[in-house]
Amino acid sequence: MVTMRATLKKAAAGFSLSIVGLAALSFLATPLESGASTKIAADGLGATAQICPTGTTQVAGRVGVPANLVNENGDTAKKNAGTAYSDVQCYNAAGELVAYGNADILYELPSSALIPLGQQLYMQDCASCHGVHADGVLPNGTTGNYPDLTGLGPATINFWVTTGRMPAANPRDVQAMRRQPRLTVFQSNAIAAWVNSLQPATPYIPSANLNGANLTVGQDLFALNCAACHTITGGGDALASSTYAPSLHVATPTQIVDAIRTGPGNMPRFTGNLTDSQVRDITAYVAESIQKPTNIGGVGMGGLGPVAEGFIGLALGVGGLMLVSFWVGDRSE
Amino acid sequence: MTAVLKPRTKRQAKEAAGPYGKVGDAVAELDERLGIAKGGRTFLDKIFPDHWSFMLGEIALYSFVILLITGIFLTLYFVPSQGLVKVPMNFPYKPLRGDTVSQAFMSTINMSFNVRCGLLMRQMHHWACDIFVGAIVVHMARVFFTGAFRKPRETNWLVGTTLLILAIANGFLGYSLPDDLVSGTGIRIADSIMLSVPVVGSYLSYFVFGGNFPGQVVIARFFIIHVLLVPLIILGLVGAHLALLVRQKHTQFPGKGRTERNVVGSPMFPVFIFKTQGFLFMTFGVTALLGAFAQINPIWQFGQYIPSNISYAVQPDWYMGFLDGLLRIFPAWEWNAWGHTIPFEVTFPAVIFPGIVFNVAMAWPILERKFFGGDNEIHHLLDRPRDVPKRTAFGVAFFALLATLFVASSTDVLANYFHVSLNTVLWTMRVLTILIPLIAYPVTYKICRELQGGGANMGKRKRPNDVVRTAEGEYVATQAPVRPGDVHHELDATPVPTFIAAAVVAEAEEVVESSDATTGARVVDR
Repeated sequence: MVTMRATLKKAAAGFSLSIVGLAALSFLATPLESGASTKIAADGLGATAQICPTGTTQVAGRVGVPANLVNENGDTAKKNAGTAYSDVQCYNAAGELVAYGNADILYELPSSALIPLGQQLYMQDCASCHGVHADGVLPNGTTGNYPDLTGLGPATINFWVTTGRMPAANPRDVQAMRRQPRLTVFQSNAIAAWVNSLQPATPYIPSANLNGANLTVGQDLFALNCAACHTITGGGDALASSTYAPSLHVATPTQIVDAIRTGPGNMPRFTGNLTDSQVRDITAYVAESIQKPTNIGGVGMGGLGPVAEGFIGLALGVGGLMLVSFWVGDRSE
Repeated sequence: MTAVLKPRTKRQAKEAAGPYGKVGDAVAELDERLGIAKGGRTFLDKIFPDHWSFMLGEIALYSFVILLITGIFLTLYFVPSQGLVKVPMNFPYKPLRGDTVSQAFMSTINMSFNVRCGLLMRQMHHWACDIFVGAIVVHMARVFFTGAFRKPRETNWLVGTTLLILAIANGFLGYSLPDDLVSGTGIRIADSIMLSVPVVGSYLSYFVFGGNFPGQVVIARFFIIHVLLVPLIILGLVGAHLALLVRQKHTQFPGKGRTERNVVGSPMFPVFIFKTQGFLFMTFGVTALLGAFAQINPIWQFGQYIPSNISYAVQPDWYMGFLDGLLRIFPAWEWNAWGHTIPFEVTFPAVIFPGIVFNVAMAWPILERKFFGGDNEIHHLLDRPRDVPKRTAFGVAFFALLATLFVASSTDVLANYFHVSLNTVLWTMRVLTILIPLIAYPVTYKICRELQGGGANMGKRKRPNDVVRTAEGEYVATQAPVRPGDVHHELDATPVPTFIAAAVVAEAEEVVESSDATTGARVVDR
């Protein structure tokens, strides 16, 4: 007769026996970490190297930058990190500043040829909330419900659109969620080009050169600046009143620099205190060490820390051993 | 004359060796010098009642053995110093290369990456600790709900509760040693708790840290407390715990042939000793499996602790969870009086509340006698929890309170996971912390009373009714006869293998083949 007790006992016995086998295996399953391959820093680019896109004129040094593209922090390079007041400026034939930056991060303006397409897409996907002039003014004249997009710089548009947060799933949400992007990067660039044409501003859309990044500096700066909200393992966590710091596990390097330089949502904007080189290091640390964590100790359990560990320890450890005690501790039948 | 002859056959050799063989002779030699027979007799004849829940304490005992073994391994590689060193540029984990870290952190990541089996030992040590405290709690719950703590076992209940406190304390101290970002945050909270103690708080903090937090000495001090002082006390108390257990003999569940005056069960030798050894290996197995396949506390991902850095979503290990939970949900009540700050928001959840919890736990045998209808009699037969509804209800409410606070220690994780506002979660936990114990008590009480109504047929298989129509047209329902298998297994004692039973019966008059006790079980007077 199969009773529940007998079934339980069989399950307990099966569990216990499988432990013996697996435990023996486990001692074999922990090899030494083989020497990880070392990427040698290939930082051949100085401030004088050609980093501008082809077809543009490169100007080194911080001279002749259009006044409206320098932010209000004064004229020191550090305070203006991320703005056009940068190591290198790139001008096109028409004399427009189309890119700036340095060997670590190059900030580029989307081509002005995209402006008509951008306007079309904007009217289709964005204007119903942000207004036809991208200034947050709705047709009936109400303001203040939705952000004014003018003067924010293309990086802001790039972040919100390429992460799928905009167009918003629900404009009344406290915080837009990351989701499958509704528009392509190309379309996002077009919208950015049109919005920027209304009132040119920085930062432009960044692309970080992660080769030769210093992960050690990246980790130190991440722990100092980012972990307080995003957690040290980058999983993100809830903040007050339905806001939250999102997970960093799916962010692209460009989106990471976008976020650091523009400060979307509740996030502070890091301009004055992080140089391009430091931002590049943080980005590399997120893209390499956080998105591909070194879990040499077994299953990483989502970087949830003691919450997941306590659950495993109590459920599998204590619970499993209680099953074992049910097997060996009860009398035989 | 025949004795000096060289044995020619196996049989002769066996006869020459005597009834106990060479091992027996050796033991006899020892007995003549040390008198081990008397103690050995007590030990080998110790009776263990057969019930699986009596093995729970052994999980704790054996995880403590694992903690000692893996801990000794770890001390070979750990450097308890806050002195700074540079991580070598060829270190396997890239983001730490060239970083300046403390020797405690350096030696821990070094044993994780560069010492063979080092990471496995570290992880086994940590898992064994989680299991150790968990097993103590489960064991304690068994003792509580069955009333095993009653007279004459109050002393052992006190020893056990002290062991739990020491285990939690040592778990925290050990968690703090690697000097990583997460454990450093824990030490910072411990510092705040010390500071919140009225009057002596700042002196206490300065004393522990040798000056201002974090100072240069705290890791070295925690280390020696963690590896020497507390384990020694735990070891001594475990010895006392077991000695009292042998001295007072086991409790047992009521059942056939079991009275207040005897113990029915399997003897240490030749039955229980093999069970318990097997259980030791199983505990090792589970811990080794977790250590090998489930990562715990990957401190290289956290980095060195620097007081200016902080990570969100940091929780303590699970057994500190209820304290962290109350700290999180307690209202920010803080007063200034006579030039002093009274940080009640920290003092209550972190100092006064655990004091209440552990004092209630320790004083429970007395509290039950005074307020929950307990008596002053000697009890060796256990209660079924339903039969003592007041105690059971109180225990469930108490555990429910701690469990709610435990859940409250992950408010942020809950809010993030379920996309609920953190504020909502916070207020929900505040309400639930008060509400759940208040609901748990009457509900448990009622359930117990209802279960008591089950009567003598509880646990037995239902018997069908045979309905028969008589010649007069009357319908009569009679209960079907008992079929084989319709017995209550749990209350039957273990049959001892026949060869042992025969030997036991032949040997000693203390073995009673009672008509009540099941065949083969050994019954010993108290």
